[in-house]
Amino acid sequence: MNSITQLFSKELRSYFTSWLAYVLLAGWLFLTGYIFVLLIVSSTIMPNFNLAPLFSNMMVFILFITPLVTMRLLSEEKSEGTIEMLFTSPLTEWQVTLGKFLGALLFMLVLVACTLYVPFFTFRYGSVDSGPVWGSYLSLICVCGASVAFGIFCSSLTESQVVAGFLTFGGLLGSWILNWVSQVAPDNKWASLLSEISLYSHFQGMLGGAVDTKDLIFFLTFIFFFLYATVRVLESRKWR
Amino acid sequence: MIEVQNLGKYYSGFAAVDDISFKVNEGEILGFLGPNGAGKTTTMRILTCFMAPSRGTARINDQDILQNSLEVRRNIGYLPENVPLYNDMSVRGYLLHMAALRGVPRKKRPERLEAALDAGKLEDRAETLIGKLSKGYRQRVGIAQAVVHDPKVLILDEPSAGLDPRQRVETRQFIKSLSKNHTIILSTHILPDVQDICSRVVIISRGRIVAQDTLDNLETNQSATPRVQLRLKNPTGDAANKLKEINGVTRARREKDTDDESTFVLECAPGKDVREAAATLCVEQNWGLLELQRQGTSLEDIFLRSTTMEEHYGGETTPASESL
Repeated sequence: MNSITQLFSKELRSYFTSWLAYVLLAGWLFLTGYIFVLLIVSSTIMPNFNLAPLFSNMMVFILFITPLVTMRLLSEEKSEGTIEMLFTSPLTEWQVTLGKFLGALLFMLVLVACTLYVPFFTFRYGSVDSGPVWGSYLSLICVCGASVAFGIFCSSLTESQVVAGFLTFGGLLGSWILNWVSQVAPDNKWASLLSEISLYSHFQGMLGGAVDTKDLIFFLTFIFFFLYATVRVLESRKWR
Repeated sequence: MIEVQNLGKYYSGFAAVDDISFKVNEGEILGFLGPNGAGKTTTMRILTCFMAPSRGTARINDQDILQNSLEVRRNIGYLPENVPLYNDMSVRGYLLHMAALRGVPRKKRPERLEAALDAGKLEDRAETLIGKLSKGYRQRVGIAQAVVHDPKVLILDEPSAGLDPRQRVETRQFIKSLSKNHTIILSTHILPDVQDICSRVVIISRGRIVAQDTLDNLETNQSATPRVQLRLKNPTGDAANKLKEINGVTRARREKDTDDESTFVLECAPGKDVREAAATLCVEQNWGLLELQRQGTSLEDIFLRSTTMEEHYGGETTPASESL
């Protein structure tokens, strides 16, 4: 456990010692703030003020941010050779994977937490149902976890950060696109199967505030699967 | 302390390490030599549990590298070949990080940090970012991280690569000083260092052990005749003959003449030391003795002979890859 905490705080610190964290934070705050302002302005024209568009957009931003956050996690260790230092220290593959996963996830959660001013102001000065808002935050956390787990897996596959980044981006984008299929052909059973394995259809379910255990279990399974796959890839160095 | 049994690592088509066995006793420094691509790094990576062997195993500190891998790693300090480090961390931060990962209790960390900084002579660079350090300093950070958790066993892959001559001497002395309570495997291409600090050597070539013994035994067992080289300022014409009469000298020849000095080489019977007699003779004859040196069989000769012999009988050439 100590080693995991050590690894995870090292990861988190290394985000904030580079420019990456600040650039991402600035961009993230600008974009979410911009959409929030648009929503407020449009609420004067349209009735039923609703934060759902903001959260949907945040989910799309996460799609773009995750590759930047996760691409270096393991591929940099591989290309710099520091992975040799890691695994000649008394650490298991699970400890390394979890340490890095938690470090990256916490960084993403810092981004998400920076938007908490939105519910603060809307609850204070407006009348918005709180259920969907907290449901959306829970689903954002789940999407962050799942994207980061997938990103770590991609990063474990290659020594090149660029390749890892593209794989992550491509995979997450693909998962988003799968979701569209069911909207085009709602009655087709293949389309509904594809949308079931898409992260974003499960995300949308929770966006309305209806937290379904089915969705939560989907996210947890998704995270576990990709962390497990990462561990197996890391172990493969021994017998290759 | 370290016991390697029939270790082998095979890739499709060639053997990086092929059935090697050796032992290192407690407190011993073993020189692990071989040409590039011979399988040194692969062996070290297997011993440090980074890779698994295809066959055989090894025991370090009475723990099996396959069964008790974590326990083994807790007791090993490893300096990999190219010293991979995190460039965005300070020297102090990095050493503390490694100490924590290797299970040094929080209370003992400041003390171990000081010891590691001292080991690498890094006190004045503790706050510098590793990315800004020169090659020599990076190497020293590598040495410091290898000892930060006070391991019983050290495995050092070319610790003096990239160091300037002075740092090399310091590193050599430091490794020597560690041998009191550490067991060390040292891989290096700098043979004088091996001669100076290692008690035993293992030479491998193409994944196989081609020589392993104590340095003394290797030097005497290799059947080449020991030689003594003399440089004289003004020898007489019959100097070679007179030198040959010394008891134990089998041949004496005048090798080179320059304007102000001549070089003689004496071949001696095995086990004979003729230096004292030769010196006395030179003084008696007033030949102006400038230099007297025993040539023996140097480690370099042994290394070249055993690795080229292997090449001669080694069959087809397969380049050994040391990449991951």
